This record gives sequence, C-alpha cells and structure tokens, in this order.
Amino acid sequence: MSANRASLTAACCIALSALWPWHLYTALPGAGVRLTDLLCAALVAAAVVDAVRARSLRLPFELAWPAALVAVLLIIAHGTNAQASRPIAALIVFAAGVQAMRDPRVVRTAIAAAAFSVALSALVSPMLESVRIMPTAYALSAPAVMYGPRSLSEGFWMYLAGAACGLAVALDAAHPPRLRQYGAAASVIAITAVGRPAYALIVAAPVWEPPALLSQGAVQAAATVVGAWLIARVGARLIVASQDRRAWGPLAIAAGVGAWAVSRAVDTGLEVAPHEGFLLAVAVAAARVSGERRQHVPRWVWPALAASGLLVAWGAVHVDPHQTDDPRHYEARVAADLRAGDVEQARARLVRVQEFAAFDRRLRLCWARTELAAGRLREAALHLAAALAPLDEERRQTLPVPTPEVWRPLLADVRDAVSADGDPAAVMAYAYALAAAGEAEGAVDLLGERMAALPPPDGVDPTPVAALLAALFDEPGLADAIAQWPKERLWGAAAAMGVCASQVAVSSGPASVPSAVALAVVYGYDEVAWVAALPAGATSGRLRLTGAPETASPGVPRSVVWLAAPDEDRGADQRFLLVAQPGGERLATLRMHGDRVAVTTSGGDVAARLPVGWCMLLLSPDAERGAAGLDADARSVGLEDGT
Amino acid sequence: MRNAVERMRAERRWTGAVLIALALAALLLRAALAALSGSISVPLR
Repeated sequence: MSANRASLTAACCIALSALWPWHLYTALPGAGVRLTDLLCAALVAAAVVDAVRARSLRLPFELAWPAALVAVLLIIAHGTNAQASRPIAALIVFAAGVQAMRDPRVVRTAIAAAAFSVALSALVSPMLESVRIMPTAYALSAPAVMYGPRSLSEGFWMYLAGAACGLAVALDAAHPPRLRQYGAAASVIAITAVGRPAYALIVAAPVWEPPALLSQGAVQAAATVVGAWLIARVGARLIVASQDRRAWGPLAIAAGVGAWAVSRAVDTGLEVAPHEGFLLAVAVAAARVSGERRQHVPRWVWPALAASGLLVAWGAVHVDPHQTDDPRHYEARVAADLRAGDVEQARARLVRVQEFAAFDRRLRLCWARTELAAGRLREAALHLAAALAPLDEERRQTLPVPTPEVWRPLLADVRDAVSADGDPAAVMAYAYALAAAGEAEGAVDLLGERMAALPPPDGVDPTPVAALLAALFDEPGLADAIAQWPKERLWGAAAAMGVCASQVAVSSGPASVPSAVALAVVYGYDEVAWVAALPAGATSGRLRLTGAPETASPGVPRSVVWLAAPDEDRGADQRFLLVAQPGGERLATLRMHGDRVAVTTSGGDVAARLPVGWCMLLLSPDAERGAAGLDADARSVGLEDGT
Repeated sequence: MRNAVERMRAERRWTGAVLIALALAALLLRAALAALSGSISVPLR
C-alpha cells in the first residue's frame, strides 16, 4: 500500500470511528447520501485496490468463511432485497476494514475516537432535548428520547460500546497517561447514559416471544447461527489476545462486541448498518497481536473531523426529506402506520412528535391525513388549514415546508370526503382550509351555498359579523360582499363558525387601543381558541392567529376582560392583559407600539385544540365611542344562542 | 506468548464458550425484559 493510500484509509477509518454515533446526522445536503456511507464506500474501494495490488486478503480464513457463508445464505433466503443487502454491505465493509487497518496506532486512535464520540453524544443529548430538537429515537408514550441511534435499543448498545471503547483506551498502556484518564472519563459518561435506553429496553419487550431463530426459515436460521459464530470468533480472538498480551483492553472490546450481539438478539427488528461491519473490523484489528506495516494517521484528519462536526450540527436540526429511513422523518413513519391501518399508532406518534416539531407544517399535514383516515373530517380540514395558514413568524421546521404538489392532493381528498359527508362543521372547516390555501373567495362562496339558513336575532347589525367572517378567512376585503348575503344565510354561516354560541360574556376592551385596530377574541366554553388582531377596515392584511393558553379549566363557561398592565407601560409601548373570568388567568397580552399591535398568548397549538363550541366576541375599539361603545358593539354582534 | 497454532486452538475453544455465553445472555436478557415489562407496560415505538 502506498504511503498516501495508507494515510487516506487511516483517515477514513478514524473518521468512521468518530462519526458512527452520529450516522443519521451526516446526510450531505442535497446529495441524498450520508457521509458515513460514503466513507464506508471509500474504505471498500481502498481495500479492493490494496488487495488487488498486494494479491492477498488480510481477513483471516477463520473469519472469512463465516462472513462469506452468511452472505450466501442471506442471498438464498432473501434474494437481493434490503433485508439481505444491508447485512451483506456490512460484511463487505467488515472485510474492507480488516484489510485497511494495519498499524496498531491507527486501531488505537480509532477506538479512542469512538469512545470520545459516544461520550460526546451522551453529553450533548440532554442539551438537544432541552432545546426541543427532534430526537432520532423515542418511545411513543414513555419519556425516553435519544439523539443519534435509530432506536432506543440501539442506543443501549451504542453507549455500552462507547463505554467498552473508553475502557480499552483507559487500559491501553500504549496511550499517554492523560489520554487514558480521558478514556476512563468517557467510559464513565457513556455507562451513566445507559439508564434511559435500558428503561426503553425494559418496556420494549411487552410479551415474551420465542427466540426469532425458531420462527425464521431454515436458511435464515442457518445464516443467524453462522453470523453468531463469526461474532463469537471475533470475541474469542479478543480474549486470546488479552491473555497473550496480558492486557485488559481487548477484553473490554470483546465486551462491546458481546453487547452488540446480545442487543441484536433481544431486539430483532434492528437492521444492520454498513458502519457496524466496520466496528467489527476494528474489534478484529484490536485483537491483532503485532502490528505490521506502518500506517500514519494524517494530521489533517482532525480539522476534517471538526468540519464534519458542522455537518453533524446541521444534520441535527434538519431532516433531509429524501432520507425516508431517518426515524425523524415522521411523515414516512406516519404514512407507514396508516398503510398498516394503525390509525391509533399514527396518532400516538404525532402526539409524541408534536413535542419536538410543534410548528412543523408537515406535521399538520400528517395530522390531517391521519384524521382523514379516521373519518374525522372537521379535524382533518382544520389541521390542513393550520398547515397552510401564514404565520406571523416562521418557526424552525424539522421537515421542509410542504409544496403545493404535496398538499393539493390532500386538499382534494378532504374536499371529496367533506362533500360526501355534508356535515356543516366539516364544510366550515374545509372553508378555512380553502381560505388558507389562498382561495378565500371560493371559501366564502362555498359557505354561502352550503350553510343552512338560520333566522337572525332581531335588530342585529350584520356588518360586524360579516367583517369577522371575512377577517377569519384572511380576506377583510370580502366583508362588504358577505354583508350583502341574505341575513339567514349569514347567520347560518356564523353559527357554523361558532359566532353564535350559547355562553357569552361581554367584556370591555382596552380604551386606548387605536381605532385602526380591531380585536377579535375567540373563545370557547373551556378555553380561548385564539386571539386575533387585525387592522380595522383594512382591505388586506393578516389576521394574527395566536395560540391557546394552557391554563384554562375545562368545562367552565368563561368570559374575558381586558386589563391595563400599568407596570409594563414603557413610553409608547402599552400593554394590556386579557384575563379569564372566573379564574383570573392571564390568557393573552396585547402590546401596542405606535401603530403596531401584537397579541401573544400563553402558547399552545391552535388547530390541535380548537374547542367544539366557541363563543366569539368582537371588539371594535373606537377612540370616539370609548369602552362603553365597545360593550355596545360586542352586544350588537348578537351573541345569544343562535345555534 | 503462544505460537500461531496454539493461538488458533485457543481461539477455537473460546469461540464455543463465547457462543454459548452470548446465547445464554440473550435468552436471559429477553426473559428478564419480558418479566420486567409485564409490570411496567409502556408501549414503545
């Protein structure tokens, strides 16, 4: 092997060792491939060139025959599908790794890189969880989450392997004393992180199942036995090497290999990844009693690793939508649940994912698909509306914002289901979705056609209701057209929107809200659904939908009142609090700075929590009429029981 | 230090022992997990 190629393969090996715990985060943006897989491919290419040039395979025969036999048996059992191709790829990378790693120093450095990388993963995971980054592994209704492994059971093994590598570093006399201390520390960090995946492993086995071996076909069972023999042989080599060298390091590596084998036997659903073949090759190389040709670790590998750390950081907060095998790709997981007909699992998954991707528009689309599959049309349409509605500020999205090609078919599906069903609430929700999709006029027309007529209360001015309907469709300019509808139809539409609900409390608005701003407070029997601020009389502009507070007590008819917040007045920046009555919880804060108005609530997710029965209170603050005028205005909306 | 042939023999002996140990560990762990999970019962992924 030329010096350059030897250095390159050494660099490949060390980079793979350092990056495997972050495998899922190494997707190269736009390339559709992960860096770890590329490194595996590079390692295989280098090993092939080396084997051809040297005309020798460095994989010992006693390891080569079980590896080859497993590959043949897998092909016989499964053909060339993913179930066979992934383990075979791992076996090829295994052979290439054994061929590539020649110098004991490279092996030692690779083991140290793996140990510190796993320890870093254990240290970083709680930080990622605290900032609500989407985990790669999670339990559906248990609090355990992990960052890096594909499942919690894999994380269990990953930390054990990291601890074993750290121990090997600590016990290797060839390392400088400082590095051995760090190795021991890495081992302790990794072993303390095992607790959470261990808990997950405990809950992962709900019923006793016979060993998978018995339920497989004969050929697959033979492949499993031969594979186990291969693993055991590697373990035996490490034990014998430990005896020969009178060193504990190889024994620690053997423990890591054993942990891998046991974790696979316990959780048979795990797929083998190519980089796992490389890790087995590291174990084989660690068992070598004497090093052969000298192979230098190039210095540039460390800055290159630091640079790939940036890729990992990017990958931790961005999921490539094409990498559907990424467990964070919740859309693919939910689609699989729905294909399997397991709507409940899809819902449980969405609830769990929502903790980490509350503002993801694709998550709303997934909710819409799931609710549609469950036959809950109104909820499906509301989720679709939430997925498409413009936001005041764009939040970080785990998966990219859906394109029209993605949501249009779903909108069509919801339309078909809603028109077949005919439920007015579902029609109303679909109208929201249409408006959010930029077809407000179509939404208003739909309402005009489909809503049942209701007799209007006596002496009620339809103008504020029309303005509110138009505003809720984000098209204030349509208010005049809606006001021209026959009153019965307008009231029918308003009733479907929940404008006329049975429980009403009139509140006074903040007196000094400028007349250029109208406020709409939409609340239900049990919670405020949203607070909206919109420019009064504006022909365009966004209705600012904000979240629902978490604090409301369910089932209690409530009203709201605006209170000035004198302590927080700062110059031109005035604040008002929207307070629930009874209860006194602060539901929202209104901030005014000059002409700008912002309403924020105590958080929550609007579309997921829209109440069944709403009340609506329209406040049209007018500087000339004052607070009394507001009361009158609110009453004039006619919020008696019109449903 | 053993020579290559002795080492090979030792490895072969150890392979059987490791295989049995792994199989036993896997079986015991599965049984233990199944027993424990019966009392905890939290659905997972």
